[in-house]
Amino acid sequence: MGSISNLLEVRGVTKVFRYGLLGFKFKAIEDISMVLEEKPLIFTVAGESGSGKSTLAKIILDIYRPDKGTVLYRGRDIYRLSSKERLWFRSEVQAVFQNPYSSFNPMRRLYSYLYETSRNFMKLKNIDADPEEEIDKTLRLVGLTLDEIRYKHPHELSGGQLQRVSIARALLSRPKLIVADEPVSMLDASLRVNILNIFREIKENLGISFIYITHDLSTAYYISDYIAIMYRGWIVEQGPIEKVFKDPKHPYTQLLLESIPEPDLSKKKEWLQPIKLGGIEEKEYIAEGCKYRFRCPFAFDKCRRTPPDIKLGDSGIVVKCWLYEK
Amino acid sequence: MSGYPETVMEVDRLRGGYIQQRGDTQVYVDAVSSVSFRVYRDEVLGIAGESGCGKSTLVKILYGLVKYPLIVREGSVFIDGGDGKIDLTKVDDDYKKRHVWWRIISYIPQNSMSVLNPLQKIKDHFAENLRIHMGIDKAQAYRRAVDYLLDMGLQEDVIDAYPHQLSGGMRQRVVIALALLMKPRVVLADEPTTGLDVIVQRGVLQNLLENQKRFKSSLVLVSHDIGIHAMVTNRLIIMYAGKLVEIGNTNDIISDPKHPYTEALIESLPKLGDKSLRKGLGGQPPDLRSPPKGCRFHPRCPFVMDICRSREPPPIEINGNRVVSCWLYK
Ligand SMILES: Nc1ncnc2c1ncn2[C@@H]1O[C@H](COP(=O)(O)OP(=O)(O)OP(=O)(O)O)[C@@H](O)[C@H]1O
Ligand SMILES: Nc1ncnc2c1ncn2[C@@H]1O[C@H](COP(=O)(O)OP(=O)(O)OP(=O)(O)O)[C@@H](O)[C@H]1O
Ligand code: SF4
Ligand code: SF4
Ligand SMILES: [Mg+2]
Ligand SMILES: [Mg+2]
Repeated sequence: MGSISNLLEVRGVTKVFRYGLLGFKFKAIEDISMVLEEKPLIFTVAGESGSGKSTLAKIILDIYRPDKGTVLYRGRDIYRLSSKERLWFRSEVQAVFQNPYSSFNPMRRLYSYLYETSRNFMKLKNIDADPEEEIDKTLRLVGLTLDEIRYKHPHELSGGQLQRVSIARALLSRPKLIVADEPVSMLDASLRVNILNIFREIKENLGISFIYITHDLSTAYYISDYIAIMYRGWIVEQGPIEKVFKDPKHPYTQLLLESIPEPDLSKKKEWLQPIKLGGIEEKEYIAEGCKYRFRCPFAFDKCRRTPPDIKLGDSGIVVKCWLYEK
Repeated sequence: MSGYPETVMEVDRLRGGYIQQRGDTQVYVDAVSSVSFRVYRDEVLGIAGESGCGKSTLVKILYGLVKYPLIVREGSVFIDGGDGKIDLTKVDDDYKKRHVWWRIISYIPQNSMSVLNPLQKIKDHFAENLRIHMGIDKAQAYRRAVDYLLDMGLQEDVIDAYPHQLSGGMRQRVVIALALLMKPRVVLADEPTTGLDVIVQRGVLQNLLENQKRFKSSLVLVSHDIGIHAMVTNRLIIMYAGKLVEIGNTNDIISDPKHPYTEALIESLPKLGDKSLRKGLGGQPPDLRSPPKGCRFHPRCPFVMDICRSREPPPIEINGNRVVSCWLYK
């Protein structure tokens, strides 16, 4: 039994795929642990393409089952819920995905989706309210109104508008946690920040937590409280975002942060410092020991063995690297 | 650069777009609308703007790759190949194949997979190009190709692979190596690093940049990411809805944007170490089949005036090296 004072606990989760990109059995995520405390917060999971972010999201959403480890929601193992509890879990934890057009049936009016979601939820919670009013109220939270979308089909809205509708749909069941997998990466820069601002407001005003999955570290910094950096299926570093960004500990995090092209001219000189490119991607997935050791400038003997997760004092930072072994 | 920069390409009131068939009627998508600018020798010129604003269309026309439904309606694209100027909109594909493509100008398309032949090994892509254009033998060609691939951080054995055996990032780098092979005067790169992670992106861009410097060539780099422009480009074009709305030194544009659209774009970008509230733009970019009259940004512009709704703002030069298309500066 986990602690009820935590909203979510991911404990030593591993997921093995048999026919991945590489054509053999490999661990898309391996021995991953993280904790979201009860207070409202935004927790970013960042990492390059294929590092396992979506796999982790799907495990938390109970779309995939882990091969090892488990996930606790408010102290309860989400893979061992009764059917009643499962309904409760499904309303408490909601998802928003990258492509809003693929989360709606193009033939159906948006309103009918929202209506159905709202009605189901009210039935579950025995709430007696007017779904229409609920829907309008919720749409207003994301900068839309029911009048604007009532007769619309998905393709009649822009990507940004439709993404707002999917956030509204997630909010209708009054969740405590929203897992958002690349929710803004299809949107243009000047529209992206509008959605991020909505997340910020929802967190502050409604007390809802987010797991924000992204490969974009600038937007991550803008909205998050915590961050986990993934590399080849591992979380190599996690902790309060201010600390991780100010003083990254893991050699991969260090190079990653330094490589972000930012609209900030003072960073140009450092960014232009030549780096070497590796061509050894496959080896890294199957290698024993630290997966970063083929590129790591600090690699030493010990790195042939898998590094443990090391807690750095009471900083809240956990880093998976032998350099920090005491 | 000292004195007057040498012009390598000159784009003059270029207008081009797509024919769309709608039942019996045809509509025209005005994707590049009266665009003028120059590409100088020994510079990196960036093109930025949001999805659908016409960046790829512009670059395709610059390369001379104009195939139905894309058409050029007006204007010209001059390129100086070292012995005189030619207008790429006026010569046929056969001429371009023999004299222009790969040697004077090369192109890394947005979807670079489309450049590679799935039935050909990587080395044969290189060999063919080298044979046609330089008349060097197979063994020499392979050696040259391997050098380029190593430069791109790829391993030698990539040369024996078929395109589908490589990851997206590796294929992207192969295409870049191919584009640099003939030492062209101008390299057009359309979002060359999308889909790559930021570390590989940094390495690949550094590589393009080094190549540009070594040969004092010109790199035209399309990216929607202003961060990339800040790191890599010398001058920057901002496009909005088929129009060139602003051009100037990248540093100036980022630190002091003039056009209201550029300003909104820069203002919307979150920065590391800064959590202060950022504001995005309201509204949507227009449909290029029926763009708004007057200034195309007017429905979203916070400074809109009467004149903006009826008359199109001309390009206006301010402090020497900046051009802005906006009535605020007249
Ligand atoms: N259902 C599946 N079957 C087999 N392999 C899979 C499956 N889903 C994902 N993978 C593989 O697992 C690895 C991790 O994938 P995942 O989608 O979690 O990455 P990601 O970090 O979300 O990447 P992206 O940023 O591209 O979305 C990848 O190599 C992927 O090809
Ligand atoms: N083959 C085509 N037929 C009709 N319209 C097209 C075609 N290709 C592009 N367009 C339209 O032309 C306009 C400009 O497209 P273009 O691809 O040049 O934009 P872009 O700036 O490169 O966008 P992105 O950042 O998404 O790559 C868009 O409105 C697009 O929908
Ligand atoms: S464990 Fe070793 S190889 Fe891995 S990141 Fe740390 S120092 Fe580098
Ligand atoms: S011309 Fe008018 S509408 Fe257009 S950007 Fe300038 S002020 Fe705004
Ligand atoms: Mg993913
Ligand atoms: Mg494009």
